[in-house]
Amino acid sequence: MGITRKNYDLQISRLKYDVLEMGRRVRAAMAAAVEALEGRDGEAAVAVREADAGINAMESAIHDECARLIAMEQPVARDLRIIMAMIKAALELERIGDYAGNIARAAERAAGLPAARTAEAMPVIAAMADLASRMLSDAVGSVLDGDVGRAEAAARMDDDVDRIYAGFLRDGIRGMAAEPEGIDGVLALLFAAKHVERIADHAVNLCELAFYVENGENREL
Amino acid sequence: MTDEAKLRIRGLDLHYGEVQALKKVDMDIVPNAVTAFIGPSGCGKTTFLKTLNRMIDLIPGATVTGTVLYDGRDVYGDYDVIELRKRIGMVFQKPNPFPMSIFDNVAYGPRVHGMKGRRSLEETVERSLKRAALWGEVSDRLHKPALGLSGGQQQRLCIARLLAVEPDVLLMDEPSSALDPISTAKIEDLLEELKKLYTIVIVTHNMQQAARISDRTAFFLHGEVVEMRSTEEMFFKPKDKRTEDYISGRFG
Repeated sequence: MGITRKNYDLQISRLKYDVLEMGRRVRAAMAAAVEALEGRDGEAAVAVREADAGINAMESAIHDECARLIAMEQPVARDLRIIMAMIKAALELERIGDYAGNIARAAERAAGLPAARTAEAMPVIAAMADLASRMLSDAVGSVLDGDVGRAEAAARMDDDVDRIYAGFLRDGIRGMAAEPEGIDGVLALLFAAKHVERIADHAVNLCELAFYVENGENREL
Repeated sequence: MTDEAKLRIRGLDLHYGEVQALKKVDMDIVPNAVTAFIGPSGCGKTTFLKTLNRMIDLIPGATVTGTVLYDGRDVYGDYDVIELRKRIGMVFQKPNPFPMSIFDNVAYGPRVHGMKGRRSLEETVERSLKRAALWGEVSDRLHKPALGLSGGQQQRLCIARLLAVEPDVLLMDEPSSALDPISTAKIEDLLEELKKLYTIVIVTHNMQQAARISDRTAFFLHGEVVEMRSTEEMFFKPKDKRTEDYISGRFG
């Protein structure tokens, strides 16, 4: 049996590539926001927020492409599940981009803080961001391939992110109580950490889509 | 497998001389539902359809083994073939009205089966044309030639002609493949109505049509049923790779 619909396959591959690229862009945005926070670099933080429009445009383009494929190619079975998953994945990635923007906003506030305060918190936030970034990378890959094993493993990393965040929150609250005049700075860092934690949650949502792609299942992870 | 099968097929083999066209087909066809057969040309789906009311008997050299139980009775046993084909009627790809009036086309079957009396024939013709969703378009010209109707109307006339003999199962072999999209839509709407009263089996090359109108779908390939399940599952998450390839158009 010969394989037909080469052009259709190519279009689906391109769609997946676009989602992969969007995933790369939001990971880069998160990394740049965390770096701006660490470097107390207000300008770099502004640049991250400004780049969010590009991520939003990618989401729209992916949605348009999915609608076009549905209208023109009448996808069924796995093709349909992939396209539906790409719509949702783009939505999740767009939200993650927004969170990266929120981290950048926290970085702008933190830019005026004494270096000592951010220096103490940064290794913790960076560790969380590193985990979230790895989750995100695996999550996107698992959706594109319908790789449920990789998705489950990535989703499990969320427990570590949550645990680190809980400890960071506890210490932050203690710090605010001990040193009320430093509340502004602590809050900026807590917000940043909170948004990294939310990014990891959305990465879990992405992981769930791998199950949908693979067998049409709406799995809660 | 279900207890309420209208047709229960077990281990059905069909040979055309040396060539095996159907291999060990097992299938249950449920009542008051549309069952669609899909598959590439030559896969055996139309051949299988024709075994269900023994239309296959008309093809020289075709031998059938295995069982087809219709309401529990083996149609290859001592079933009266005339009675069988009255109960399990067939509609073909090309509309084939007789070269007579619309009325006489529909009245043909009941007359052959012994119905007399103008009144009962008129009632039967009207009821059949209404069920075939054609009455409104032809009620004022029942005695005009059927061949003057459009292709879509002719096909609904053929369905009315079938309904007039009060069948139980309707076999349809690509009933709308020769029709335009509007006539096709009318046939599809009609099937949705008819399945409340009849068991419908349809062979179609149009996969979107199978997806739109059928409750269950069977995929045939090389004389075998590769997969049969609810149409929704079939088009959303088929189990077999070959089904997936076929329904997504990746079969050359």
